[in-house]
Amino acid sequence: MPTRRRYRDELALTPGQALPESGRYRIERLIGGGTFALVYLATRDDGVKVALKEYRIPADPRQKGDFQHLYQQEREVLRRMGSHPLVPDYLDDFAFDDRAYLVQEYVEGPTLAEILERDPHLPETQVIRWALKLCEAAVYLHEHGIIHHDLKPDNIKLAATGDPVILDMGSAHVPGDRQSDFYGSDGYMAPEIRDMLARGDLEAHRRIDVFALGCVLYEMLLGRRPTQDDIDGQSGRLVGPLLRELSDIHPGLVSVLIRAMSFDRNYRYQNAREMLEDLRTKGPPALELNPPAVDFDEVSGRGHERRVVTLTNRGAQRLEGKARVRAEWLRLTAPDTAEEREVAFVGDEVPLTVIAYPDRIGERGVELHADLEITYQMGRVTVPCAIAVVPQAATLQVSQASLYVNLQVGRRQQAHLGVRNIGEQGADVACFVTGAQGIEVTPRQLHLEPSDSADLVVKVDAQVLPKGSHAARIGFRAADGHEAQVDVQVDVFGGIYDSLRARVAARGKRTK
Amino acid sequence: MSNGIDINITPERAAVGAASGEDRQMHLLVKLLPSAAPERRVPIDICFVLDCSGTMRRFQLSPEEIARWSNLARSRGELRMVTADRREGAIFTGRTLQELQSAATRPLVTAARAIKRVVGALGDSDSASVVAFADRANTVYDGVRGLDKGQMFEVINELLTDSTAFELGDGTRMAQAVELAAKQVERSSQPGAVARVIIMTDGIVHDPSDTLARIEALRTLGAGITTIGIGLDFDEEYLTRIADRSGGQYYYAEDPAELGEHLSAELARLQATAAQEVTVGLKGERDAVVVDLYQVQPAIKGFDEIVTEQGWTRVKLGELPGGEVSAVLAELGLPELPDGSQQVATLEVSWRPLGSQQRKTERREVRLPYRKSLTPAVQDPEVVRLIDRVAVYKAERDAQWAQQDGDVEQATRRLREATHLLKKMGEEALAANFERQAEDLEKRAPEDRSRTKRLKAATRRLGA
Repeated sequence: MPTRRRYRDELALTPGQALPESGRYRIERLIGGGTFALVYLATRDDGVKVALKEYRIPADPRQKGDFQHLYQQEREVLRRMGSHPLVPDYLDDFAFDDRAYLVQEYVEGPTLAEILERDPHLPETQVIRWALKLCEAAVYLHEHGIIHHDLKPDNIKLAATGDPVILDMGSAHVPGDRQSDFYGSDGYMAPEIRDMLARGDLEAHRRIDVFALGCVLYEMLLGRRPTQDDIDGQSGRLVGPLLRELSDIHPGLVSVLIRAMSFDRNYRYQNAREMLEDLRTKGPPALELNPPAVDFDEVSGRGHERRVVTLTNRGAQRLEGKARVRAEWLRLTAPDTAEEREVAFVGDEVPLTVIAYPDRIGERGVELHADLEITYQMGRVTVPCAIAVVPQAATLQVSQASLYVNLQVGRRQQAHLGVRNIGEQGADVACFVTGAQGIEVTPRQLHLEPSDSADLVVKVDAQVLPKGSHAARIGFRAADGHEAQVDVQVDVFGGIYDSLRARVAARGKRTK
Repeated sequence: MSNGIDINITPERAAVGAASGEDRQMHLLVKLLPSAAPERRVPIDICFVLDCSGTMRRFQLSPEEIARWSNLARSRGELRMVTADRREGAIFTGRTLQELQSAATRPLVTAARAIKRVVGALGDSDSASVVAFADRANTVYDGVRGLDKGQMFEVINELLTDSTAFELGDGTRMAQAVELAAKQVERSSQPGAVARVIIMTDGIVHDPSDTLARIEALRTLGAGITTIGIGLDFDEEYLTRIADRSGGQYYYAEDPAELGEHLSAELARLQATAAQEVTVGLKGERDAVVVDLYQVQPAIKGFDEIVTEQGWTRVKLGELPGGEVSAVLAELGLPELPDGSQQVATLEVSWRPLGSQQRKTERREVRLPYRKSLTPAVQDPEVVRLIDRVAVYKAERDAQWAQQDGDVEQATRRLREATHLLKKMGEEALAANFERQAEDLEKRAPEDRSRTKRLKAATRRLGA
């Protein structure tokens, strides 16, 4: 049984309610409501979140036909719309409990209206990025024969991708439609609508969306929306502030805005494509840095470290400029450039490699900062780079890779080995022998400061080792874990000829 | 045993204009009058859910009285400062405490006295239990299998000693208490009994979501939940929501002394039950639309839950007392129809008579005369009066939501609309309160919580 609960002045389906009869969708909560419909967040039986639009039953039965017409019109628009990343996908429609429903992809994220309410003054780079994406979405709609007719920040959501998505096709029409009613919103309706309303002849046209896009752009730049009175009165109060308050804004953006909001519908862009192309040509580029800061973390004083910063143009034109580092320990490369302190770049997605050379930094254990400076058409931005060079751990280097000892049964013999700490920290070092009895290394423990070296004595006792060939290994282990080793071969012979044979055999093995 | 409900339908206007330009909105007043004085009254299972938080245990004193007693206690070394229920408070000890106990009272003591009075009036077939809560909850008296009033009073007296109440903590965590109440309701379900949970609290619930979830579970057991808010520091929106959702009543006791009166009224209402599980359904015919339904008598409230099915819009009224009118105001959208008497809706009233497991259902055609030419339509004064009262209720609700949203302009506008309507109705005192509320809002003056609560309670009572 469909159960509705009162949410303020709305009677909405209760959470958990399954619909339609198949129970394919389960209501999560009410997320919006307007004159004609309520919108729910629901979960489809496969777990996918969807936006479920429920058309109201009109309080005046005479409007029933109008509501049905609106529903069918929106369904037609959605079916025509297809799939595009900047508009939610249309998924399903059905009737249930005397009401009509439309199902669309659910877009998670705040509306542009909510964003503007929190912070009315958006950075210009954000504005140009969103303006371009909104134009792209509108181009898609226009080129699919759809005019939205109610573009406004409430109907725009910022998806997880960071791009705006256009919602609510409830007022959408196809070009040339003659309508008895117009459903737009104050502050976004083109001035000619008033005249058309007066004549009772409303003609759907793409430039009505263009005007609304201009109004959204206006609101993003000025932090307030134009009043419908100023629009209808074709007041100079609209353009005046644009010129006064937007003096710091890129002139190309202002020029596009003025044309999009032109009261003269013939001068205005005739569709979103024209506006988009003008915006792409005249508008400013918008640089997005990813990541916005480079951290080389803690590195040891040898070798080099690389990090990639991608410069992406989210705005108009093409990114063009130079990247420079001043710090001695930093270098840069861009595609097709050598490692330099300064490189030039052109393109809309430029991977810039920042290379740090810790051995060029004298200080240890201190965090150092330097900037990667990027100069492009819109000015200069910096990417802070941080590095902390830590002393390299103790690193052991032995004087030789292998050791050969040849002695007669019953004799004792000594050999010598050197070990050196080439790291930047001192360490206790353990010396040990594995693989054979009768071989001893001394000292067994020693301490090596950076650059220190030590001589070790290897004693071989053929009173313990029997006649024959023996392999062993001498290992060195620093307290912080670094290890080095030397392979040892001992040949114990019985008489002089054994000794000679063993030497010849050993030489043969080494030359293989 | 009485089984009948008198049903009376009164339209807002005597006739409907047949011309297409006519206003198509129409209200219907549906009055239900269950037959009075049943020979044998219905058994009642009551579970009292009593807030024993720190503030309920604290003396009710004016700031001047607090200062006077504090000075006295301080001079005697009998004052200790503590934090209770997230509020600062003073604890008096020794002789000062003894003197204070004889001079002032505590809400918990008053509530206990009121419960004892109500329990004293219960009959042999009734049952009662008590769940006490603060940070924790405990079923302190379980009278489901047989009510021993003497034993119950002893338990309640024990609850008044600090040692027992302190075990529950100081806060207002209600979820566990509601869960325990649900267990009592589940165990007590005598055939044909009226189950009622009565929540008494003076604080803002610390676990509102958990509590609401358990309220839902309790509601599915068929129990009505009556809520009584005490003092100034509780959330009346929350308590009315709980009551409205379950078909219970909401009472406001600004002074704990009013508790006895409210509990007695509630008991009288339950004892007079003549019809149970009453539902009212309305189905629009020939394209007529049922827009909304409001209860207008005995109190005004929007139905928190409405069931729609195959064109029917149904609401639950719960138990109805005999000999007392309960009324529902329906808003209809009417279609264009030709001249003559036209059926625009079907009314359905369904209930369970006392002592019966079988439901009775009555259906009535709602016919309205359509007229080609309407001289100024004759309006029914009682229906118009109730429409205005519902408009005041809606305005008060809208103002509350607007205030919550920070939209002061909308809030004051709606409050002034309510003021205007109230003046028209001759409700001068309430109108003055609405006006002062609007002025305070405009001036951003601190909220007069007492007035806000009185205003809400009075608005709901406009239907009486």
